[in-house]
Amino acid sequence: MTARLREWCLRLRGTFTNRHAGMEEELRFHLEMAEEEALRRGVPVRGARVQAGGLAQASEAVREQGAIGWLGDLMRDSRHAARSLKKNPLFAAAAIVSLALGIGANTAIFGVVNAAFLRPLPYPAPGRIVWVTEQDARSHHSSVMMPEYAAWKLHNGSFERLSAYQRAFGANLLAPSQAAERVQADHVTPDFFAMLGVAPRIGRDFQPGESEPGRNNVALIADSLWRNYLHARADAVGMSLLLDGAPKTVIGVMPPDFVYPEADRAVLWLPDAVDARGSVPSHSRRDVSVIGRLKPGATVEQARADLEVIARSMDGQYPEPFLSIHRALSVRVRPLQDQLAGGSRIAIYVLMGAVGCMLLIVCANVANLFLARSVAREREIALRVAMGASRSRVVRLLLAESLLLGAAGGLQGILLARGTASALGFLLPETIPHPIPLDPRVLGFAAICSLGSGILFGLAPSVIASRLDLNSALKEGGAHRLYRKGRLRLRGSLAIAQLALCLVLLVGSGLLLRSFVSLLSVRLGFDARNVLVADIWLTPPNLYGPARQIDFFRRALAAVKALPGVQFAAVASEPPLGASVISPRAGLRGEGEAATRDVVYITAVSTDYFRALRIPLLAGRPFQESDRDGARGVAIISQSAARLLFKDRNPMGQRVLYPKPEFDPGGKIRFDETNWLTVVGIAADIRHGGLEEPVWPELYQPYEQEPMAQMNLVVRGYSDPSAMARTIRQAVQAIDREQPLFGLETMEALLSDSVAQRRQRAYLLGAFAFVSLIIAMVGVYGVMAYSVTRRTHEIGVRIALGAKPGDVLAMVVGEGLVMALTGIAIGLALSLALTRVLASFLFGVGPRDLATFASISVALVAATCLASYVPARRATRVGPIRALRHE
Amino acid sequence: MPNRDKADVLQGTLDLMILQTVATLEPLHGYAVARRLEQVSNGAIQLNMGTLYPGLLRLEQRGFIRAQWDRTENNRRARYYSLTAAGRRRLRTEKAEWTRMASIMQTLLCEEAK
Repeated sequence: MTARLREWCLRLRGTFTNRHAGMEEELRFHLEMAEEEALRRGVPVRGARVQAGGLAQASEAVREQGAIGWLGDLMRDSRHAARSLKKNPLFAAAAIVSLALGIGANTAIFGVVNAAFLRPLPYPAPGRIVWVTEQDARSHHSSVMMPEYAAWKLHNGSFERLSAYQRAFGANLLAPSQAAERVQADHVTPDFFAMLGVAPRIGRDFQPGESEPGRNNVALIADSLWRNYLHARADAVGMSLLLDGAPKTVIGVMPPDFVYPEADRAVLWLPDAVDARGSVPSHSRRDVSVIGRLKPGATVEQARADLEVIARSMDGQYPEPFLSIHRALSVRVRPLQDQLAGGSRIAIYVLMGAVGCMLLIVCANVANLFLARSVAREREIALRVAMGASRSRVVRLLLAESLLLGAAGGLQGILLARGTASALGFLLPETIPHPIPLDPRVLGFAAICSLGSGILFGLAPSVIASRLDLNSALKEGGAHRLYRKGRLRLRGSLAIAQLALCLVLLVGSGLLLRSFVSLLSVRLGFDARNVLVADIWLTPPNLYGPARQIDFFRRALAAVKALPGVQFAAVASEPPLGASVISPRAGLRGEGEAATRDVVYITAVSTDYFRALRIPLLAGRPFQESDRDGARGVAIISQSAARLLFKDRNPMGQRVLYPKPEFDPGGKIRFDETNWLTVVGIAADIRHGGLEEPVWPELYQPYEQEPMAQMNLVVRGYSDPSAMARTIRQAVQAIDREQPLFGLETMEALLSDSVAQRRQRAYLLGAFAFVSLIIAMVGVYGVMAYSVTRRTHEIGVRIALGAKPGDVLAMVVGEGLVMALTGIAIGLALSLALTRVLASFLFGVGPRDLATFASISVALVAATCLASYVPARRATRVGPIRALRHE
Repeated sequence: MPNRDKADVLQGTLDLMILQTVATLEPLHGYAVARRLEQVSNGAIQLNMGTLYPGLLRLEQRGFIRAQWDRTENNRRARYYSLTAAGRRRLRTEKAEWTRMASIMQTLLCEEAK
């Protein structure tokens, strides 16, 4: 085999170097020897020559053996193609730029597809890592009841390791001689990192049994925490940190590229008590996330069946009402990658489809350019055919040009994709590692795109160009209508296809943009401008009881209010737009009414809260200083809460029962049925969860009657408050250095973040659609211009016979209009079928929104008319004399 | 191109014939290879240059023979071919294979004839 390989290598080299220096001499020597011998032997020299064969044929045969024939042909064709393109720089540039846009967009979006779904997660043997959850038929719970996990871990036969982690709300971290910081600290089983196959870069991993009380005061930290908070100090391992007041010893630092499978990345991990012995604090807790590494050879389905059997065997361990919950659940096992990337799947594939359409439009356009150009090359091609070039040879030659263009466009496209890759990060789910790499897979995709589009736009024009009538083509300016007609038909259908695809893109992006606009026009019910929010979580709990909590927030409010530029300052347990920490409550009851099953948001607020957020009070009074602990329990309810709790009665002065949940010492939930609150005011409705959420009923309580460790500061400034962030932070930390202010944001930023993904998707799709529109219009223009040129003679005759410019204009534009209407009809049918996939991204518009469909169709008709107007104008200016001479 | 097809079929045989000739007489030039084959076959095999020289080049590319410019006894420049070690090995295996094949064919054809 090596001999063959050697031969091919040498032939490959021969293809490029073309060295056959001694060959002629050697062959000539052979001939001479043959002649001499013939003379010597007295036989005819001619016979000897014939036997030896022709010099030319022999050297050709040797040359063929010395090189790789088709490769040499290809190189010759490419050189010829490059020369011919160089002669038409405008054509080449137009083709390359549009191809670069098309291929670049495809490569960039495929880069996202690759990063999200194809690139393996950065763990060893990532295919064996799976995500395990329990789900009932309709909901999407993504966690597991703890007893289940414990049993699975003990009894399963399909996992090498089955680990779990628990999210926490966050914890206050304090290092010696540093300010406190709020961090995301998660609890993991000690084998969690070993399961993923990732070891700390400094220090050591958790050891088995390190989750036991007494040994569990250790922590692993993320590289980011080590760098940013601990300033990459070398003695970090072994350091003692205070986490919510409890000392933890750092035992290791994770590598910088470690990927934690949660969007909100944890920076600190603690070994958790959830382990195989199954210590179960409460059956009601179902908040562990389970990830496992399958044994080699075990399948996802085997693992699911395995765990399902174990789960079903546990019915006896659950008391009601947990038993019925448990019974409704079934085990789901899916590859970790699917779990992490799943949420973005549709959005990314929609964009992939969009850029695919765009590339098709580009290809149609370049094909059109090619057709236009082949008019100019008819004579050249005819000459080649006349000289004996076969049709396939001509097709090959022309195809070489389109492939060369495709390659050039592809190269530019890759550069374009590389430039934009970092800007597309927002398309990736946050759980996926973010840099979007241009790895071989993406480059391969780009190469296939280039090659594919080269063939796509090159093949049909080349075949048509090669199918020409020699006689008429060689006659200068000969009328060869037949073959031109086929070309025009092809060009017309290309333009129609472009229009149809363009309409699909425009409708899609139109729907997204309309959703975005209708989202922005939603009334929030509060004024987010000039408001700053920040979170405070007082720890440790044993130090910060209710009295100290009230005291702290009173002092914090006084300090912030005193700052220049602050108009109002308030605290609230859950201001709008924040992440909901305490879930809304059901079971409230207006006095004299039945308990409601609907949920009501409960928010503890300070006196100035309504003024700070400019939530109008419709009746009654705001909270006062006197609404404090020990005084009569009061509440302000929102309009919709009033309707929910009191129907048509006037709620002012009525009482509401809010059965406050409390944990008894055994860990069981108990509801305080004596917690009656008197309604002292009615507030306007707000959209607590943001623009996309419905209005929830709200109940506000004075925070001094409902003290909590976690509160949000809500500060209204006279102007943009972001500049005050630093002074506010200082003012609050001056009260207690160990209580960090975190999540400091303007409400406008939160609002903008909440629609960011929508905005970016809509703009991106809009940009693709816009580029496609321009390219399609260029295509329409090209077809119309060609058609007008072709009909110059006819138009001249018409004008000579008395047609007015208006008639000619109408005729040409009418031709464009027919094309537009055909394209739009096809496009509408396609859109109706396709926009359904967008349904989950729409807000306030249906996937078949008539207004969007209609307005975009009209706009496309208008654009097409415009694109055909320019050539039409030119047609009206055709002088009859010139036109009649035209052919 | 029927000639080409025939050449493809015969290529293996031709390679073996050239290798054997070079092995017997090395070093020798291309013309001598053709002459020798003609003599040995009693004129049945008359290689033209278009067959011979591509074959020589192919064997050279595969590393079985090497070529060197030298002077003939008449003091003319000619390209002389000789076997490489790989060529010698190749010849041995090809020869064995050919003999085996030939004896199989012989047996088969004789059986058929009976």
